[in-house]
Amino acid sequence: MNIIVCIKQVPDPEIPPVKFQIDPEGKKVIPPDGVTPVISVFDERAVEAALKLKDKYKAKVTALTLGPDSAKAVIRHALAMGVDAGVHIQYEAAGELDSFGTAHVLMKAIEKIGDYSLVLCGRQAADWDAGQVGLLIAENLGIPVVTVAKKVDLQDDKLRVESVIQDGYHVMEVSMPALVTVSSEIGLSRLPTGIGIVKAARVKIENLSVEDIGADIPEARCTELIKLYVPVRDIQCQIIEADTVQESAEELAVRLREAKII
Amino acid sequence: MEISREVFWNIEYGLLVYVGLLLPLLIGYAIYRRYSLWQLGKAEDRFEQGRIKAFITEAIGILLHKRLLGIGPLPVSPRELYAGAMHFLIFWGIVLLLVVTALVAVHDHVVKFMHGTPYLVISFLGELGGILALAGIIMAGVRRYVQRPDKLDSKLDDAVTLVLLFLLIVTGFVLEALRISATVPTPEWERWSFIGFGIASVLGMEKVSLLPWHKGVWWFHVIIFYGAAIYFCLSWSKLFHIIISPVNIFFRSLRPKGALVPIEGIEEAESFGAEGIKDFTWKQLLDLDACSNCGRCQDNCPAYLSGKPLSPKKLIQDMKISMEAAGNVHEEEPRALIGEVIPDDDIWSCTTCRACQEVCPVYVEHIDKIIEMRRNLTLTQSRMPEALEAMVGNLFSRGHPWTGAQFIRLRGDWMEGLDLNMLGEKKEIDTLFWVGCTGALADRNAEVTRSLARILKSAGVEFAVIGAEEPCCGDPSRRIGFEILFHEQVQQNIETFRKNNVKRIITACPHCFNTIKNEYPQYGGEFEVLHHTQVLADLLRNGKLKTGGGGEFKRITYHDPCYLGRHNNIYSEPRYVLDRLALPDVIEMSRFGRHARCCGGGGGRIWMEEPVGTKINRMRTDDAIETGAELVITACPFCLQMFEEGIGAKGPDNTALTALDIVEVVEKGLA
Repeated sequence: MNIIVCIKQVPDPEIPPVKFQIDPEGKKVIPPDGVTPVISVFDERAVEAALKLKDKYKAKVTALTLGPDSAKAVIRHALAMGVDAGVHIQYEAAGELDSFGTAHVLMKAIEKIGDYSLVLCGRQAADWDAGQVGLLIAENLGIPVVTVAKKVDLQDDKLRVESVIQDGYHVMEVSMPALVTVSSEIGLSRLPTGIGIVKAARVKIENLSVEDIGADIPEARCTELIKLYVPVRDIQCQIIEADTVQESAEELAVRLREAKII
Repeated sequence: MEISREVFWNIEYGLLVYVGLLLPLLIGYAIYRRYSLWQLGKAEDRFEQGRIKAFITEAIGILLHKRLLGIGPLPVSPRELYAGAMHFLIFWGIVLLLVVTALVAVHDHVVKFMHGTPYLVISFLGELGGILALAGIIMAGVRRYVQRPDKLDSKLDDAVTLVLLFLLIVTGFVLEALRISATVPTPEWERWSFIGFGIASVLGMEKVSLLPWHKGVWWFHVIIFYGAAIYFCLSWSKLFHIIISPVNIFFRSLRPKGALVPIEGIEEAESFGAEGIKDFTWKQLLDLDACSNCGRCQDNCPAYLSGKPLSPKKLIQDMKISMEAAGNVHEEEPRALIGEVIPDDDIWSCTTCRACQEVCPVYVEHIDKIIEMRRNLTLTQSRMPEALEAMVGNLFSRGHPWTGAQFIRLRGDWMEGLDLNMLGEKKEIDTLFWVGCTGALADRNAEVTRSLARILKSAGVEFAVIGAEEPCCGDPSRRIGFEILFHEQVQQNIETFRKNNVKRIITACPHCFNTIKNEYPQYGGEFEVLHHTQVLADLLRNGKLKTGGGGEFKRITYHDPCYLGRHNNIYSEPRYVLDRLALPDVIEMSRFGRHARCCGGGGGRIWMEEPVGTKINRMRTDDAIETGAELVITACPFCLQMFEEGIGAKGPDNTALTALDIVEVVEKGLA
């Protein structure tokens, strides 16, 4: 069984909020100095889901990313975790693409890799949180899709996927090839092992351009970003002072009642 | 009558004496059997140039028992002094006896020279040897069976050894007394054999009737001797350390103390570190036989002293059992080394503080063994404490070991408002101020970093910094066994240093200091590396810094960071710096200098939980409070964090202690 996992490099979500800066004019996020971008957390869980299948059945797992030169690092990360091969579609302006553009390029890349039974994606990227790309790839490829999976397993020649809903989960049976988007409920992703890192260094990452895979970058975006801003939270704090605790509690209750909170 | 005596006078020994010639064969056989065990290990080159010279230099100190008696820079406690004196007496007593016996053999078989004064001197020396050895043996017996210190676990072999030695010496004296008593007339000069003569006076002089007794005791003495020799050789008694210890000292590590051995061929390796006993090198296995179970390591181990399961002595002894099982010495089911013989917790409890190795009389290398097992756990088995997994994850994806809400800084934040040179901007600046992850990312430590930057600037030191792009030096990865990350980090850093023409590196972190100074050369990175205590001492010495104020503290103490002190022998610079300031004298803690107790943060421990026993940093904080000091000064970001946690845990009501880095103290004390 051949599995392809789509992974994305994103700014480190652990950046302290005060350091998060945007350029509202250019509608861009300004990455702070010295913060290495990382693999998107949900995509890392997708790699984990693939490796769980590999542990149980025979599988070849290929990690696929679209991004600038620096995005190679996330492929190395996936290789160190234990995937078998890596494909990097190098495109410096990948950040300009919207979900439709990205899904188109990834679809072409998946077709170029060929011979797959399962495509795994994170449920959404940890930067823009659009959650569109996985669905659109499936649409482009014309294969079934299950979203927000907490468990992916094989049953005979079909996939058995547990998909998270608000108060529980659905169990779906899907014929292959299929695409599944993975949620964090799948479980913690494994650490890169020493052996993994050593072997990852030996694997040659296949480096392709958008032309190599025959993708046409759409001239215009299907979706347009109208405004990018950091929400301003205005918090006003009042401290109720009184002589005794009882009095202050009473005063608090009165104020809350006035504000129609209680 | 001539002053001399006839050797074997009353004894018809026949050819028995020549059985003695078989002794070397017996010893050779015993060594051969153990040698085949050491050969189970992997190859390692311990035949570098300079080893013989190093051994000879060291041998003098060892013969004088410098380490055991605490002569020189490593003073010992009264209890250790007792043990040292005991060993000194037994050692020199038996050496004297062996020399005298050898001289007697020369006299009997080669050239007769024991007449007159030489005879008297040799008689006297033999007597002295017997007395020294006997005193030492009695001290040993009292220590082992009356005082019973925690570090000694007594086995049958210990009792057998002491009893045999005791009997040998006592029968020796009795034999001599019987000979003197039964000699007619009693020669006056035998008074030189003062013990024998004394006992003889009790027995009565000129008693020919004692001749058969003399013969009997002689045979008893000889049988004990050979019996003991056979026992020691066949049972591999601990007394064999007489032979193995010098061998182990000869092959001891000549690496810089703070440097670990790289994994050879790491990029092609399929497994890492030591999973089983055969994955260690022959020298690591030789160590196991050289250990005489004396327990000095355990007495100084912060993990053991704080109630952790790790004891360095037990580690070595347990590994020895594993080695014997692997070599089929005992009929024993071989058990897994990691997890069964040595529990994971033991392996993770080590702070790599080097207190064990610094006191080991036979130079056993405990840390290397722990690290080899950590390498296997982290790299091959991916098994490590949860907190370390998070730390490795951070190192891997973020390039530094710190994360979480506590660390809301970014690497370059500390530079704000300081106007510093960035590395690579000015070609002529070849000095790099290497900040380190902790000094850049932890709020409290960043204050120290800023303080040092201000002092360096005010003293006119030209330096550059890497700022936001500064990566990790590699120490955390290496100390937890995650060598592959270290391997990548060190090469990247050397490349950065070379590209920017860095010649000199200043750092405030002893861990960065140790790694860059002692471990980067393994990858061809030779730089002049200075710890800030050395730089500060220099600046004060040549008048670049002028001292003035700073007299607000009445009592101060200094904590030696392990990677500055024990690993790099930097003890005097920080004390010189403090001496130059307008401060009261440093009150030393009970464990200071080479004996300083670790703060608990080394060896990756600062990122791990410490659920078992007392927290090491709290014990160290208590050490500081005991001195009555209001200020504890250190020179390491980890130590500072550990002290602040310890002081915080005590609470402001229970202690007025403050912890500062030495550079902060200097800044306060400048004119």
